[in-house]
Amino acid sequence: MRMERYRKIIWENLRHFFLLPFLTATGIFLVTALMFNLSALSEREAAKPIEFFLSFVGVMLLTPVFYPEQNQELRDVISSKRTSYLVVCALRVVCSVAAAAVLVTLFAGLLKWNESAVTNAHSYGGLATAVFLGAIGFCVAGITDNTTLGYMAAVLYYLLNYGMKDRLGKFYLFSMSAGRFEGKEWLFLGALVLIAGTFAVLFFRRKRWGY
Amino acid sequence: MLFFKECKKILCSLTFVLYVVVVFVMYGSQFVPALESPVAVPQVGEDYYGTTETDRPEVVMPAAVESLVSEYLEGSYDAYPVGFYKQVKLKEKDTVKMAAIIEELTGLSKEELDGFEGYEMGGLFGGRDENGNEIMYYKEPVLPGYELSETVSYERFRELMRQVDDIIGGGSKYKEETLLSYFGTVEKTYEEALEDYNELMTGDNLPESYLRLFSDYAGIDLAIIPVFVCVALWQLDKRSRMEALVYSRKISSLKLLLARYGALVCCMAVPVLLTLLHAVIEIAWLYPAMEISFSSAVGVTLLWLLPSITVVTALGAVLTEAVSPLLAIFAQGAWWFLALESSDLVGDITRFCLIVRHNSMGRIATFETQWENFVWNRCFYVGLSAVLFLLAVLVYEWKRRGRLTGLVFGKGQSRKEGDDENGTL
Repeated sequence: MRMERYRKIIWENLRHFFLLPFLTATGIFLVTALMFNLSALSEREAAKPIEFFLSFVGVMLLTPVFYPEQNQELRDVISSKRTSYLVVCALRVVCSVAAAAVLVTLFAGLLKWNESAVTNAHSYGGLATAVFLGAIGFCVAGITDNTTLGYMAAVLYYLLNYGMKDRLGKFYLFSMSAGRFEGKEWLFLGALVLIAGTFAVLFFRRKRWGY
Repeated sequence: MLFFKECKKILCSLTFVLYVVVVFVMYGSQFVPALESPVAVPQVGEDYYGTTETDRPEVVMPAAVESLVSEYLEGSYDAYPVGFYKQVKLKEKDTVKMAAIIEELTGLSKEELDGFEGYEMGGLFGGRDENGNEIMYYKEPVLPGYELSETVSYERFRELMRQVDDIIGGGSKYKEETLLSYFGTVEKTYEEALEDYNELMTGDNLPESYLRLFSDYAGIDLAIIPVFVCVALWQLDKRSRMEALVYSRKISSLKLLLARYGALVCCMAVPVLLTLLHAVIEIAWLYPAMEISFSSAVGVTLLWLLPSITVVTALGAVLTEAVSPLLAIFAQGAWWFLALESSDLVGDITRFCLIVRHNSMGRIATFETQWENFVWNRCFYVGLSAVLFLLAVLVYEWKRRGRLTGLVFGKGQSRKEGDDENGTL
């Protein structure tokens, strides 16, 4: 019964809210594929389009998770339903991460097809980068209740990587392009903390103040 | 009155506070270090005076031809069409064209080139010395013997390099704009360094050079960050369910959006002007003995930066109004990224690139030769801002009259509401 309800929620979300974020993420995928040379790249060169541009699919998919209910009245209606609003958002996060995984894997496949030196580390690292960047946007958008701020925070963190480079340590986004293919699990862990932390803040805020 | 109301809304928004922080942090981290000490006078006997680009054929031609022959023998050509590395492999008909160009330059035929088997790549290599320490060393490439043709003039050589760049597909080392930086870079002599210093200290060159560097850094963030402030303000009516109420007011759409757009541009210009003021005061303090006139330098800075704010804001407004804030941010982000990656640090001011760059205190002559492109570029973006803004007004007016309902926003909204009524969630 519960699973049936979740399936319905996912379906309705895919129909109404997911389309535009997914189309923009697909736009990023296509622009990256058309803009960059994909053939006969070395491991490091193949990581560049993935880390520098494709990582924005995470921002486009995860940041707008709270966007449909930015309107307080709409959120009030949703809150009156049997399924918790946060469960709906969690299902959206799962859909977004799955879509990001599909796009990153497809891109890695495209590189492989063009005889570039792509390994599993590219897919794994690319997804970690995309999800971490998206999680920053998700966290800021959720806590401030302002999706635009979420996008802004993700872009600013991206810019910070240009300026600070290795000084960001394990959370440096472009490490594969610099030749280091290990350590991307820290980005996954960071994303997990950001997403779980956002849900925790929203849960206590709703419990305490009712919004 | 409406203008000030809009200003108040912007100044109190979190996105604007973040915008101010970004402008100040970029200024402090990128430009302020250049203000720490005055430009040093070159001293006789220094080891290194920096580098300069020369247009001397005897420097440029051998270096470019050696690189071209090496790349031909390797079978691939390095290119940066949008800033990122691309290894171009030519089709057979393009290889034939390339061989013909090399033959004209060196006398080496395609058969001689293709039959040469002893090719070894040149360049900087890493290795270890006898003690096991890491070292870098330069190795000359091993190429077939050739002499540069004496019948090829420098003009013809430049023409051939343009053809080479076209065959590669653009963005190669042989491109007109980057040819000298790749193949004409030589170390400055003391005399050249002193000449450059004296030129910098002449007339308005000093403040103009400083403020060009200021504009170069500020131009990068102003080509993206304004879109967030604009999008946040533009969807405020919708978020607070005031759209219908505003639609029903007597005020014309043009007047309403002009106040909103004007407020955005003015508010976002203020932090930039504050950093500019700080820069001007610091420069004046750095050179107390000099009488510096800032009027033309400040004028160029405003011409450099304001069109970036106006066009980014206008694009954000029209896309948010017509489609979605998500699309506005996506479009602006992609445009910014492409502009940043496709423009070189110095000497690459084109007529249509969003980001104008001149990341140098010197190279005054290079900037002056591109002045026409610079003015064209900035005027183009002012014009584009006006067009985009009027488009935003048109879309707003259509939505106000209900002509766009159901086409972009209305359909989606009614669906969502319908779903809630069904109790799906």
